[in-house]
Amino acid sequence: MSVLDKRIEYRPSRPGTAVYPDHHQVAQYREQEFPPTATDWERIFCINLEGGFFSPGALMELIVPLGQGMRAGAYGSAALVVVSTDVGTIAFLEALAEKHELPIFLSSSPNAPLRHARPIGALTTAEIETYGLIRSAGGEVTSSRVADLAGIEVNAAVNRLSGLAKKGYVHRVARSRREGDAFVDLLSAAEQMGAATSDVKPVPATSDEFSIPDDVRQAIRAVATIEGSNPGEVLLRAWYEFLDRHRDALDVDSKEVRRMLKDNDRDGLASYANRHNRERAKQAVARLKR
Amino acid sequence: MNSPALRWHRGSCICQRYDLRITQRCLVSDLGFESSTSFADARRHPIVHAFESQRASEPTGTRTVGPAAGELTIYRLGQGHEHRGATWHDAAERVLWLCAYGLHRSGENDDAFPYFHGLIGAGTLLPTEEDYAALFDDRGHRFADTLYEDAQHLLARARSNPGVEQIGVLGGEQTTGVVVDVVDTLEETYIAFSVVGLDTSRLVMILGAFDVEAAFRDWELVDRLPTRLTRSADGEICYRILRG
Repeated sequence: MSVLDKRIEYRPSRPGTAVYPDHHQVAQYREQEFPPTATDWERIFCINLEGGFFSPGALMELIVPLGQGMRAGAYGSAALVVVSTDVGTIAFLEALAEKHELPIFLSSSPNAPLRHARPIGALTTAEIETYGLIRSAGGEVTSSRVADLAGIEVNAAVNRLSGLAKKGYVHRVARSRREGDAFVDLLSAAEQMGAATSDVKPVPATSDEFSIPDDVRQAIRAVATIEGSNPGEVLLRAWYEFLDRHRDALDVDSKEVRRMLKDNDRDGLASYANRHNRERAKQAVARLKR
Repeated sequence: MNSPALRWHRGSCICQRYDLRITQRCLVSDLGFESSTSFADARRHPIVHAFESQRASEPTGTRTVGPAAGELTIYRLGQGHEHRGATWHDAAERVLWLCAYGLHRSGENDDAFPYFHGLIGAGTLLPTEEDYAALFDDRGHRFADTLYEDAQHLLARARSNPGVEQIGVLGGEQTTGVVVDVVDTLEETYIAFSVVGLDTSRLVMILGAFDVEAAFRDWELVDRLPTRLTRSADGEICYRILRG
């Protein structure tokens, strides 16, 4: 069951088979095919580079403004998939994505399952791991779920997921405190809705979409409004959900902690308090390397 | 100006807003101490003394080591004519690190500043994962050592002033508000604190320290204290428990 209750628009596009040394020609194509307009539904843009021969400058002109617009929210809630099998082009795209911090997914074929598209860009090892967990969990998680899957604290999970959302790789959907915010991988979400890429028929941009069945409708909050929401409130929603889901486990912990408090077992208490220090230390150092 | 109250615990000098720490590399390689040396013992070194006296209330200096680099700016620390140090403030983790030490001998090969620049270039100046793990371990011990007494002291204050929020710091790190309301023979206790930077271990420990007889499920998560709403923008949560 998905938290998304609106259509996901799939917009494949392929520049004609040609040599593209001219930046202006490429810019014109980009502006025509992908005008920066936000919608209130999610979109997946797919640019198939196969058949085109792009100069490095032309490729930059095509991809960088689009990726930057995605990250800045100029396209609303959207994901960008680029298709290429050329090793040199892929290496160049990886470098571009990292340098300009572009949220891009690489695919080897327009017919390949979307879940096989690989995220590239300025991602930390922890974020790549987290993104893998989101996909293996079906493309939709809460902070509490990631904390369970990765064996980390809920605050650490919130940090990782917020990082991925901020960089544009996943989309955050605000929900009640009891449910906790959902973090959605659009590519997986599209497939979960029963529309693998190979089944998606490219249709004109004005009407290409596939809908979520009625029975999975739930309230959706636009991602744009969430990006501006208070971080404390976001953290609280994650905590409320975590505390609700783990009440039994915390009850067991509490019993042991209260025994240690009664026995004045300070070493035991310190050991319990320090359970997640290694993970925290890793995070602290990762911050310095960004 | 009065110097702020300082405390020393393991590898830290605890100031009002942050801890002063020395990186392991600096402690052993630059200052020549054993790796297990406490901060209090390291104070006999002139630069550690200067670190404490000059940085206890202000985490930055006026001159930098190398160019300003935003949050990663390294500041120069000086003591007398020749003792020089490099400090870095990690505001997110509330810690100020003494990252390097050397003697200032202008124009000589072993002058402190070329040495500091070399460490920056090699990426070995800033604290490591081990440094942070040691910081968090020390804080965990401090939390465990003082939590129970802090919680009981705060609760006693709240019981003496029913209906009035009492605010205190638990375990040297967790600012917490407590309100006790008495209705007939029932005592209602509210505990409010922020979950920003908190982990579940500490949450369980805090509630346990206020009532060692109460199971976790006896505590109820509520949206407000009797005196005010919780400050959700600060990530504050509030638990309530009712006792006969």
